[in-house]
Amino acid sequence: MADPATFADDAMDLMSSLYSAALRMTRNPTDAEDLVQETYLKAYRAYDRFEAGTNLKAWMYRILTNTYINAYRKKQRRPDEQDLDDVEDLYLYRRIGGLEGAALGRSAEDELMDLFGEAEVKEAVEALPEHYRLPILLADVEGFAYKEIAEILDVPIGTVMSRLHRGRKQLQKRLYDFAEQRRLLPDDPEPAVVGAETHDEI
Amino acid sequence: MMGNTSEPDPCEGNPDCQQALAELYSFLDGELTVQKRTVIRTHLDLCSPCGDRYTFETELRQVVSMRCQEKVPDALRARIAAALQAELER
Repeated sequence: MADPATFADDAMDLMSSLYSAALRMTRNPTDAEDLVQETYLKAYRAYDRFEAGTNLKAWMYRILTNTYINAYRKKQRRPDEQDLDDVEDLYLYRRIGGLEGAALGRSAEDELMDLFGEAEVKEAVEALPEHYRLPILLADVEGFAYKEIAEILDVPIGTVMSRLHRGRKQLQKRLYDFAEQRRLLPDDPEPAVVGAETHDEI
Repeated sequence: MMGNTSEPDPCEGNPDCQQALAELYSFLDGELTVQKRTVIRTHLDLCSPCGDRYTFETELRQVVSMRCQEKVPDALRARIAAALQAELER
């Protein structure tokens, strides 16, 4: 059992991470702030039921997620939030995997940072349907394990894995579309052949 | 680097490459056993197209993660600290 008197000391460090996730969930700062505050109050009141020594971050995320689902998401479905048709594996790599190294002495990561600015990445993540957005935030941004994500979202591990797989492909396609709109890409990037699929036309 | 080329894919039909591709996300997610990780790592050292793909996905994920970090507004931090203090004094 955890001692409520130590809650603030234990949990305050998690606030940036929770707030970042809350912003991607609610997509507006006012709701995100309210959601984080509500999460902290609920967690404080339930803290005697938190098993000391287990993962506090995962426990807080579970409260954050449930609070979001119960209180916020109904009013926040966006019209552009839709499932894309099945996107091919390695969508971005096939298209821009050769770009890095184009400018000598720059790392691939620098190139990707240039291509995908803060606004584009946030918008691409926020445009994902919620059933992809939440697992991707938990895995790719927060680094939770599949088992933890399954517990936070209350779905089977297999569901977590398939949503991550589909969601990541959709995220890549959205990122690519943004970069293309901003004309940051070469005129005619032919998709490269990757993996074991057959490409009859080549 | 692979990427924008129309050359034939050297990985096509190679079972080791197919396995590396199939396990890509489990590997990046840290969900493989030590033994499977070692097998993949060894393959990546030997096969540069597969290594490039892994590097690309790893770096893309780092960029997405970095771009999604937010700074908590001071006012929110203060508000929550005050709310918790009020609860404590009840």
